[in-house]
Amino acid sequence: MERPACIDNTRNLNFRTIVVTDSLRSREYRAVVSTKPPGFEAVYRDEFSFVYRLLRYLGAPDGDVEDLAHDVFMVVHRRLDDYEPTRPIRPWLFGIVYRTVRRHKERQSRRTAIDAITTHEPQGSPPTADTLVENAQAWERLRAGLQKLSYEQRAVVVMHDIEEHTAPEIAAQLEVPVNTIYSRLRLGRKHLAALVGRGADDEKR
Amino acid sequence: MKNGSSLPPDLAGFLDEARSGAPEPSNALRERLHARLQTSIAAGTGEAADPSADLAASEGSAAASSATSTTTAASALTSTLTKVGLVLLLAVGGYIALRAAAPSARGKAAVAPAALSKPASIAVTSPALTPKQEPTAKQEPTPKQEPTAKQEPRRAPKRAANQKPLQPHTSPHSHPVDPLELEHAMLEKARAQLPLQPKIALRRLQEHAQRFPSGQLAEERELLRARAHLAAGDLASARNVARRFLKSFPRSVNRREITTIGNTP
Repeated sequence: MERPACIDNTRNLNFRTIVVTDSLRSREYRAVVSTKPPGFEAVYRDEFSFVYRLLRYLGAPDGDVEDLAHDVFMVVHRRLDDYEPTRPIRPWLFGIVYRTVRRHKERQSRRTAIDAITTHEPQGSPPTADTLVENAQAWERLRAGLQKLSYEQRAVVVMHDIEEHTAPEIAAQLEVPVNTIYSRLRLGRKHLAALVGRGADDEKR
Repeated sequence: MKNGSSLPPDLAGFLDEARSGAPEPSNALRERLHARLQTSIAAGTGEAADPSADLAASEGSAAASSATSTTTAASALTSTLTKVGLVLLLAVGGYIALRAAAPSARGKAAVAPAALSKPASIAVTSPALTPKQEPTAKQEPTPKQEPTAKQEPRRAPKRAANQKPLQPHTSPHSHPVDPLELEHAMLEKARAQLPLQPKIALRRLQEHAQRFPSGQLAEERELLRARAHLAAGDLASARNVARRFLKSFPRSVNRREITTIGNTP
């Protein structure tokens, strides 16, 4: 866990001191966080890439990513006051993206299967070196593997193992118990490892 | 990797590689979408490409603002009642239309039971239920036998005491299935049915409780059970389930919602 910079600005009404638990080191420390919601422009500027990435991981068809990103940010604009600024914003955004994609898939599934993997996103940066090519191939394999997981398991694997958020954060957004998140994670990892040819037999959780 | 200590190293390495290969959105896309959003915001209506996006997001707004989520249960109830009302309206409308279209007495008799029996057929047809589960499905209570608020506190501990620990499940092809997979499948079915068919969802949850009394997803089952009772309008049962939930899972992340259900007048 990265430690946020400690700013001695507690007299400012826009900041508050909170206690942050570093679970890896079993330590607690104080941090000063903003209590003022960020502006929409700042959220768009800082989190567009995250939303875009999440949409693709969760299985949004390439041709619909822009429309879905538009929908997500319109919801963000409308509901920004609901966001609790002392908490990380990405889990909150994840909740919006998760529901937007699920709703889209429910509608699309009545017409066609949308989980089929399509070609590279044309707007994506083209790899120029061997390593980049390998990584891009790994990304395509990952994405193909993710699409074969159930939507719930996929979302948890993406948020926990790829975007590195905690199970309680994910549980709070999906409104399910933390145990359910760990169970989905365990099943998702097991399936994903088999799908991409990486063993997860030794995985306990 | 944060929180990823139990991730198998092989898979972790692959995920790191793949993460590095994830394409970034182009600046052209970023700017185009920004301009589109500004237009939509200026229009004031949102002009969402997906009109249900806001609805979809509002579903999770309570969780998003957990600090002020004291109205979760009330809004869930309102939402559910609205949906139920809509379905009833459509069902009545459809029935009247069908009656008008089928004037013969035989036609009328054929249409109504078919429409009414559809949920029942959903209740007993589940991909999650393999042949091994059929005996359980047959024993499941009819809607009239739905556990009441008074019955549940007595019956639940008895089941828990008598039930054997969960056994690995096997398919007809003798391929072992992870019991957790089955638990997930059963609860997902219940979750899908909960908004519009809460009583059927309750039967699914009862099946889960019988098969996995102390399963890994018992907490989620009890959470869904409280929501289902609430959606079905059975506030007394919802309160009872909620109170038991808080005793069994006092540190649950869902305790705010459950507390609200438990305190519902």
